[in-house]
Amino acid sequence: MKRRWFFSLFAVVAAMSGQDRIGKHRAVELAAEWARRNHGGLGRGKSALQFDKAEANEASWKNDHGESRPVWFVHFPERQSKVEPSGLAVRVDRETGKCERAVLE
Amino acid sequence: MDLEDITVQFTFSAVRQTALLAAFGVILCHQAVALPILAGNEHTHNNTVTTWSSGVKTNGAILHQHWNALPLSTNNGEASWNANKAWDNNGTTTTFHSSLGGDADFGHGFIANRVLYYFDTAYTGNAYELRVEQAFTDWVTGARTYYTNSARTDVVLGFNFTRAAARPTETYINVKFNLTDDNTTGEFDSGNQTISFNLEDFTWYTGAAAPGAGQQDFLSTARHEIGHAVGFGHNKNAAKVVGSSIMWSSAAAQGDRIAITNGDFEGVMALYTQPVPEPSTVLGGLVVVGIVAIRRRRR
Repeated sequence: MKRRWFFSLFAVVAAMSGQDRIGKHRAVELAAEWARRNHGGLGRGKSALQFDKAEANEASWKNDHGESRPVWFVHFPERQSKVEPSGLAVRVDRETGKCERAVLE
Repeated sequence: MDLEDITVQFTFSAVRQTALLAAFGVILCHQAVALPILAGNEHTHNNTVTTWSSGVKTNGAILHQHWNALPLSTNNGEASWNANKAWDNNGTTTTFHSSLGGDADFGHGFIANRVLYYFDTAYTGNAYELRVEQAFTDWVTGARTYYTNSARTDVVLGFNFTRAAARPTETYINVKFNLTDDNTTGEFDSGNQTISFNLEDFTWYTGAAAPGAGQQDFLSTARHEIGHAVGFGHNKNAAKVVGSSIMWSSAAAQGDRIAITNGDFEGVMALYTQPVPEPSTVLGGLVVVGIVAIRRRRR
């Protein structure tokens, strides 16, 4: 609970500053925490997620309001999969740290 | 000696020099076959896995070339590729093989005739099928156009996909519409060469024209899944904007249509082996020219 308050406060401060506050390493941490909290109900194959092999790319993402946001696209691969896509991807807002599951294809 | 004699003598002299140079070239190139000898970014190297000869794939260590010498994993301009597999078709048999050995970055794919795809689920005449067909065409015609624009008219692009009316007896790409995973728009299983689209969890826009705001474009997803079927994994290029390559792993945002980029087509050039003339063929031609020139000189 305390941690959630901390992240909320962190997000507000980052948003007020108007700058990218979330670095790549931090983005992977936030995404991993979000994924561990949520991935139990995220469907097939997610028990094989490799959190230690995360890849994070900078990207821009158009949100539901049509606004382009700077994000980190963090992908946790899945062990031994012949299927693309595999694993789980989380978009982390580079300013607010807000995490969302990305739709893969 | 009049002007014509001088001209003839000069011509014969030039031909003789050409013949000598050709002979010298044969000796030189046989000493250094590992070096690229043609213009552009082709390369030659000995390869111990499946390769091609005279336009037909065979097995063995045959000197061969790729049009694009850049490994698929190299960050190259628009795209950085991650190739999983590639198609082989020698006109009679078709296989979907893994990238092999020391040339893992090069798929050594070659499609002499075509690779077939088949709609497993009956959606004949349906807009989903039309967009899948359009997406296959986009890959094939786009790659050919890109290839033609590269001014390499002396080589043939072995890359083609054709729809089968009935379930093929040879290895083929199976297209289904039965995926259910609310965070996956479509997937490709390289184990059984099957593309599955998710019609259950998404409300798709299936028009040929660009989608409007709030519409999820089916053609973009079809292009992406076919990119997997061509042999690509996801784009590994960091710091890229979504849409810079059709092989970005995130689905298109609503209202966006994602194009297959020139970077993606460069991936096709690298993944699929092109039947450019082998050095032995080129050198053989030079030897013939040299012999003809010498015989004319003696006559």
